[in-house]
Amino acid sequence: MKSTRILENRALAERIYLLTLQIDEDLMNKLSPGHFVKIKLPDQRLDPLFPRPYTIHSLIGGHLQVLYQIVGKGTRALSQLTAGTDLEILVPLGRPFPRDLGYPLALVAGGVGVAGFGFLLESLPQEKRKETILYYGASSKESLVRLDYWETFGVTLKLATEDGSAGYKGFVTDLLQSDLSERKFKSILACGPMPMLKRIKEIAANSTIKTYLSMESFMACGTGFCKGCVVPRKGGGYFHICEDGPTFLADDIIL
Amino acid sequence: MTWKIGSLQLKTPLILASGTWGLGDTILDYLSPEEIINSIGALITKGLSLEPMAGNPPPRLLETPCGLINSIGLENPGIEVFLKRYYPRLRDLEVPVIFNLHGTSVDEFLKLVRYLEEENIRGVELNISCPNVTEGGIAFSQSPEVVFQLVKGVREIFSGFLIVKLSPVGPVLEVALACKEAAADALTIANTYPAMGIVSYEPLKVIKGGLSGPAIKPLTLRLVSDIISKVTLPIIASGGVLSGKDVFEYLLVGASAVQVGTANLINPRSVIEIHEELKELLLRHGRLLDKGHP
Ligand SMILES: Cc1cc2nc3c(=O)[nH]c(=O)nc-3n(C[C@H](O)[C@H](O)[C@H](O)COP(=O)(O)OP(=O)(O)OC[C@H]3O[C@@H](n4cnc5c(N)ncnc54)[C@H](O)[C@@H]3O)c2cc1C
Ligand SMILES: Cc1cc2nc3c(=O)[nH]c(=O)nc-3n(C[C@H](O)[C@H](O)[C@H](O)COP(=O)(O)O)c2cc1C
Ligand code: FES
Repeated sequence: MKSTRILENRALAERIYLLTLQIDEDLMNKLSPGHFVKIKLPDQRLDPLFPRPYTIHSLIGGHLQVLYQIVGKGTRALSQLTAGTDLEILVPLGRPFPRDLGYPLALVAGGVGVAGFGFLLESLPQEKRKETILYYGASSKESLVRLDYWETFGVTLKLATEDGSAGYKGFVTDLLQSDLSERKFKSILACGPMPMLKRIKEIAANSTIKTYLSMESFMACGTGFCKGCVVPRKGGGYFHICEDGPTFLADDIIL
Repeated sequence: MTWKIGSLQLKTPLILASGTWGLGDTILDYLSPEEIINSIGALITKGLSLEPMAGNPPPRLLETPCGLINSIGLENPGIEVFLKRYYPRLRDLEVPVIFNLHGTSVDEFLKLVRYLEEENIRGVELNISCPNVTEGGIAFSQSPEVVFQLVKGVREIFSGFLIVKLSPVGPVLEVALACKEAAADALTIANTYPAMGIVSYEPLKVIKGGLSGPAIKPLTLRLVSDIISKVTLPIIASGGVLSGKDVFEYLLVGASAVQVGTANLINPRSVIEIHEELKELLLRHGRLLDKGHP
């Protein structure tokens, strides 16, 4: 694990935070979009016992940013830390997003599942960004975060909220599906809650679009040591989300 | 300083516990060979079976206060693949490698041990205590008589260092005495505690598995101390070690060596930090270890 310092830990919405960490250039050069980081809370606390995994959200300005949502005790404790606090992190973990994404590309995000697409878009050349559509869904307008930031990339941004307070009223997957007839996507890359990923897998099964899903599960190690973070593999056996993923070809896994 | 578990000499009393550092193929991503040689006395492999095992369906993990319930189900590539693909790199590290074995019957254990004899492997830890498989595993630990037959059978064909890893539940003392009688070289006390957790209410998802981590340390410390006072075999402690202090306390009650398990999951470099802390404690209090056991 490496030492790092919190530069900022800012609330963007009621339960969504943007954490900015100082990292050195050496480490920065090792990071690719799709990698994740394990963050250890700073004191000797035993509960929660395991550092939590977070996707790398952004590397702009030479800082490592994490976009996270409070869902339990670990994320709540993280949200209470202030600038200047020293933390330990383990990074890079997992495999980067696949390199063979085709364009036009659909990025599909549910809630803070959008996090990893920041670093991805930061790394894409302008012409590929123009061929990318970001479908971003959340429960309500307040939970759609960093819209200014997403707009800087020049991607087409398509929003959906369950309560209809912004963009399309309903699920982001419905929005995607209704677009599929007119837009000829070569790839889909999706990250979000399990029901969303299941739906995308169904939608993609009837098409030739190369579809990737970024998976989550509780992780004890994040390093392949415990063999606990499994997703069933088509054809038998299991993948380990932390070492074989977290991003998988939808066809390769059983949800 | 050298450390001894019976006839086995170790450079440090710290051992990486079975199943908590994967198959070993990525250990060098986190620790250098020098760090491994200087901090780790021995390495114990993931539980290995005759045939590959896919392991249990998810959920396999649940965090509990200060602990972890796991139900991995001994996912492993089988002894043959392990020997071919994973072992050579571990052997090159020049730290004793002990093979943790899982059989569903005495016969399967004997077959596994024959493989190892052929490969000239010098250390075995018989896992008769895994709570996460339907056959074998912890079922052995219910019957001192079966354990006696098993250990005796293995002893007859295996000339290397023979450790038996006990469950912390069941007739632990009787099983320990049976291992002694059957001429085991040492005991590991203990595996995880059978436990259960509710992962979600709707839909109802539960996990039944083994509890590890700091939550179990006081329990296993007590067990180690009790067994040491009644069984004259070297004891390797395993349960809830996160710090040099935890290791020192196990040594203080008479353990010959101590395994580091769940700590490796929290931080793959835990063992290095634990070793540094232990060195300091040994300087300050090391003399206490020669005075018999509380
Ligand atoms: C690769 C990866 C990348 C991630 N990236 C991000 C990110 O960028 N931003 C972000 O906000 N989050 C991200 N997450 C999710 C994040 O790690 C979790 O939200 C966090 O670990 C929750 O910790 P907690 O202590 O706050 O919640 P906990 O107290 O651990 O509980 C969270 C919820 O999970 C449930 N739960 C616990 N164990 C299990 C189990 N075995 N099966 C099913 N449910 C279980 C609990 O009941 C609870 O409802 C990522 C996860 C992974 C694996
Ligand atoms: C994820 C995980 C996998 C394990 N796999 C094995 C195994 O294959 N064989 C075995 O004998 N013990 C296994 N164990 C038990 C550990 O080796 C150790 O004895 C136990 O976890 C208690 O020590 P700890 O609290 O330091 O982890 C496993 C434990 C965990 C947490
Ligand atoms: S979290 Fe341990 S193997 Fe993936």
